[in-house]
Amino acid sequence: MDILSHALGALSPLNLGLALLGVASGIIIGALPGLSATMAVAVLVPVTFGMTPESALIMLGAIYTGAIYGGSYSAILVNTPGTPSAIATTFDGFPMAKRGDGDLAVTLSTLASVVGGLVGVFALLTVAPLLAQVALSFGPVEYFWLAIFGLTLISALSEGSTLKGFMGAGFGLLLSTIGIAVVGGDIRYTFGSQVLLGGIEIVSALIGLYCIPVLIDLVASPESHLKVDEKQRGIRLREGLMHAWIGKFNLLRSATIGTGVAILPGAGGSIASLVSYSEARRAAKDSSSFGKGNPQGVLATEAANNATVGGGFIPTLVLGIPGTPPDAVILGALLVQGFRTGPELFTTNANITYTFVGGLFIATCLLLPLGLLIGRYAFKSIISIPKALLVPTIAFMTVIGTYAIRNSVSDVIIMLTLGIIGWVLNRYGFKPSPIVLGLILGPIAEQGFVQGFLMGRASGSYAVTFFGGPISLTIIALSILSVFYPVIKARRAQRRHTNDADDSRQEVSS
Amino acid sequence: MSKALPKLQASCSARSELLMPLLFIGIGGVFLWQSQDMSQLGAIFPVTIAIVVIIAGLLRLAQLVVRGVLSNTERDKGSTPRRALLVVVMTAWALVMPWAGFLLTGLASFVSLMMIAQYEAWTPRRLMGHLLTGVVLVAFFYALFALLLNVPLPLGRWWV
Repeated sequence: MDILSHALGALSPLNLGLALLGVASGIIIGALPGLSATMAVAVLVPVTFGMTPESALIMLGAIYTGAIYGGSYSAILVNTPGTPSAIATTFDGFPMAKRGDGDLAVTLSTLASVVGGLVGVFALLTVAPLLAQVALSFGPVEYFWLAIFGLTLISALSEGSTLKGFMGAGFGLLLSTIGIAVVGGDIRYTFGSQVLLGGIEIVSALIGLYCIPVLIDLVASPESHLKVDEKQRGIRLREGLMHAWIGKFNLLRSATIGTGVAILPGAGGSIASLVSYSEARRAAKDSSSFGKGNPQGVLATEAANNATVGGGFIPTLVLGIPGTPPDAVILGALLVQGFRTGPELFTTNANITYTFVGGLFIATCLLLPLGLLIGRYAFKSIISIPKALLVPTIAFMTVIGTYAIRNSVSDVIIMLTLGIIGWVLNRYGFKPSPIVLGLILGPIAEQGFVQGFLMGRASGSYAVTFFGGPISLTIIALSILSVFYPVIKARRAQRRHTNDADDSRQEVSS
Repeated sequence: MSKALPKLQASCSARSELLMPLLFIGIGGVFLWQSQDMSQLGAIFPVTIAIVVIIAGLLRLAQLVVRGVLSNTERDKGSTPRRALLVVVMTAWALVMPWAGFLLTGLASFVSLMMIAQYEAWTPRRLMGHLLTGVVLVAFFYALFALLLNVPLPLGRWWV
């Protein structure tokens, strides 16, 4: 009863207003390429210092929720993930927009984000302390295998040739080693250049690899950017709900994966959405349509990345270990407000914690009307802007967005260079997704690998270190399944097809 | 008797399909070579990955040689000069920005890219409309980033 009364505290007019403002500003900031959810939260933290702790937390949670969702707009409409957690949304979202279903993709992303967000909040409310303990049993080796599991997605992402996918991912992993080493501090592969000393910033690489090739091809022909239907179909909510109902298990599975991955400190929304996309593809009957505009792909990734909001707060609030990067910023804000994380947040300071959880719930619900409304305008403006304005506007946003990440012109140069490389590689059949996957998972994989290597050397057995733990073995089994399942599935389908053909031949002859 | 496997379809020309694995093998080689001066901890990960890239490149080459490769004749074509101009303008933008300032280079690049992306003839009304929209958009983003979000955008060397 106490929990309910604390949670109802979030319904005060001030808190509701702050949640509304937070979600709306989060959506807009998240939709701009280069401005990530972390940045949205970080930039607006000082605004909350004068507020009461509950209101401050509600506003920050709302901004975070909105920003994670907002990243899907640019992913769907211009093939540029607004936030790294929306990378996998580009796989099916952009092909949907290209064929004239951008409005449906935005609606699906809204519905999935709401479902995912609610599952995450529910987990935060019910099983937070228990789940936080599970996160603590993940050591460096487990993180290494988790990154490898993420990399197995390459088999799903590489169209045509898995070997090309592996080369692309290897290239991404190699790019991630440029700069100062995560363990040991070596300066690597900078070739004496100051520009490369800071390494390749992931968001600027994302913008370059996804957005610049689109810009280069946009100016090459007079055709419009996205296919526009003669008949304007509004937000296509009924159609969206139908797809969501068909994919209800996909939605729940993805949201659960999102929550689970977010509990692991540092893993973040990008891994959550990639893993859930891979699982959705693996479980689907028509897995070959993924990557070509399958609505279930959008549902999977968006449900997962919004579930990371609630999921990420579990280790943040219970253990004081941020689950995702924006959680780290919110943790800082909590400390400024004079709160120490830990079990007392659920006992002594339960009023603040449960009011915050209630606020997060409200912010997630607000995503539905606000997201559909803003999404409709975003879609309308993208299809109605003439190309001569769309190209410079996107270019302007990419440059200013990349610069703003670290206030560095070097990042802009790296973004452009990677964009040109990405365009060339794309032309020769190397898709950007495996490269990006390598770049994102590289530091996590390397840290786990090198620390595991050191642990193995100290214990005298590399095999026991890397293959000895039950969690490691489970992740390894899942990785193997992820790589070989498409092959097994195709073989089974072929065998069934042959059997059916034999049966029909026998029927004809009899 | 087993059926011969069909030839592989190249994304572009057959020759480029063979050259790309060589490029990746070369990249792997450079990363391997450069890791010589590093500590064991710094080198172990990139060396492992570089070896994987080289193996994947060699396997792809073998696959192409064994099965043969067909050129893709239906690959999309478009205006190469416009593509090249876009790259030139954006590169110049990034390089000149620290000297000329963000606002000036932003406006100049916006107008240049507008010209590159325009296929229909300019009418005075359309030109004015686009220019005005450009100025408003640049001003909006400049205000958002520089004033609201406090991002220190380059002012240019002559201002200081």
